[in-house]
Amino acid sequence: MIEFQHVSVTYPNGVTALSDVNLSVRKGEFVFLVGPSGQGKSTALKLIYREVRPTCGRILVEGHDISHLSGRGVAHLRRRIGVVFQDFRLLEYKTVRENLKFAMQVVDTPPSIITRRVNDLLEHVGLIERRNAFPQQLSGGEQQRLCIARALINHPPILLADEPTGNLDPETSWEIVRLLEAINLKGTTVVMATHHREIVDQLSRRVVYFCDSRVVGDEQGGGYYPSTDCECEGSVETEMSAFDEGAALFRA
Amino acid sequence: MFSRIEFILTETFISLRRHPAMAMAAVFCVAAALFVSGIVGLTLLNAHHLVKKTMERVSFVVFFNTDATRHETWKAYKDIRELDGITGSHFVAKEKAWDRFKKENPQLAEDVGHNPLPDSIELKAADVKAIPELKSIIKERWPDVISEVRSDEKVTGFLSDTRMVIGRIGPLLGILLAVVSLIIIHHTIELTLYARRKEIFIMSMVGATPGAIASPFVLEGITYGLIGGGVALGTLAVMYDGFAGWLKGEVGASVMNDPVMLQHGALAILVAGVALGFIGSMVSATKYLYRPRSKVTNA
Ligand SMILES: Nc1ncnc2c1ncn2[C@@H]1O[C@H](COP(=O)(O)OP(=O)(O)OP(=O)(O)O)[C@@H](O)[C@H]1O
Ligand SMILES: [Mg+2]
Repeated sequence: MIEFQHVSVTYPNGVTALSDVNLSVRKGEFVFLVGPSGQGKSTALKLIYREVRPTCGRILVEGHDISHLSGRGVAHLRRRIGVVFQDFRLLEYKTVRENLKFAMQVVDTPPSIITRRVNDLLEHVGLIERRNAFPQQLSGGEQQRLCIARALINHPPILLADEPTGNLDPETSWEIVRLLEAINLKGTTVVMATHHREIVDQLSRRVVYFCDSRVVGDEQGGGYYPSTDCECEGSVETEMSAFDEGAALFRA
Repeated sequence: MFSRIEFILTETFISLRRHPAMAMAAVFCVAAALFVSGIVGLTLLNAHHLVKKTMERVSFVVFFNTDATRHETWKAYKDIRELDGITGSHFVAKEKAWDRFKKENPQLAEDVGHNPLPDSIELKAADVKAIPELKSIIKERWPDVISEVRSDEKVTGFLSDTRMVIGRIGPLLGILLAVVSLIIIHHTIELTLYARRKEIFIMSMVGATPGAIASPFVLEGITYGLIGGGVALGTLAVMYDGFAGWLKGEVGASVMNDPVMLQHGALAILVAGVALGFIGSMVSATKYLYRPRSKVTNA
């Protein structure tokens, strides 16, 4: 489904975000990407939806090399991939329904289908009652549900989530993860970058560990910390402090 | 497709409504550029019209000596009308000239009593510029029979010079203003793109093609161009009408009012407006959508 072959990414400013990463995700898998801050998790996701191009190596999505796509090619790739962000990115001046309608119109969905699909999606993510609310009237969890609904408009076989619970309290985070699990159960491949230790530990899914811009571990049914020691010295602490800061923000 | 059209129209409208000041600035600039171009165009057309009319009317006239015989004058007439550059000629016998004079000034004619007028020839030249040369040729060739060659070529010469100057400066001015409007539309659309970067990001994330993303912005540019063109056209029409009325009343002259010419001019202004809007917005949209990805989206 998704395959990284000797992928390296060096940003124009000289920062190497990934070096020689090999990774293969099969259809229907649920994969966590974990690791300290700044180790290339987001970069790995951006490579899949062609926000970033690899400096070296190849990336295959559904068997196709995506390195040399045209503007239209990228557009069609993204109809096969749903992406959910930490910071929602909703249009404040549009209602819940209109946010979805907007996204469907730009990909030329026929109007007759839009109405039905919008209702189905809102039903699916549990927002049908809130369909005429504006994003600011929604809770964080509800906003993230709307983002997930938006990511699903094209029936993508792949769903990428970059810290989808990063702005949510623990309870709401669990709701979102349950929703992602339900989507995964229907056959969608889900790749989620996260710092949420509890979720990773309890879900016991496949976990890919990023450290020093490399993949340092890949465990089926793994926890938040790799079972074998990785030589990522000190980085755990950096990461821990980042998480604590995040938690402190919520308490505030 | 219907869905796309609805989307484009909604987005364009939102954009226009969300920054009316910027929209107005863009429209105003297009209107100003096209207005000045229109003034230049109309002035040129009218100068052309005036020169043509004047040139038709201002011929030059050869007067013979009063004592030259009809045989001599008729022979000279036959030679002169064959000269290069003469496009029309008309022999006016002194009797006929006297009849004309008597009809126009009966009192004066009675006082004078007899016919003091010479034979004459009314001539038209292909080019006003050639008139002075023709005059001297004619005077030199028939010094004995010709008393005077009279013309108004100064007036026509002035007109044709003016026309040439306007013809040179006009297009330059038009191009300059077009470039200014292009830059302003381009910047307006760029600001729009910036203001709507979140929408653009969402569009590109859900798989909208670059064309679909650009279309509302291009339509916005075209709208500015079209409205600007309309404003310029309306202003020009009102002003031209007023000017025509004034000219008729004060001077008794008429302006160029060939309907086909005016319709073509009006169409040209609207087309130019649309073209300015299209080009200006295309440049910004292309620049924005195709610049390095990483700069577009990092949140
Ligand atoms: N657009 C960019 N330009 C330059 N450097 C970048 C860019 N994006 C990311 N980086 C750098 O690349 C490295 C990896 O970043 P990335 O966002 O992939 O990390 P991450 O694992 O997602 O971190 P976090 O857990 O904090 O989200 C970091 O050092 C970051 O500063
Ligand atoms: Mg990240």
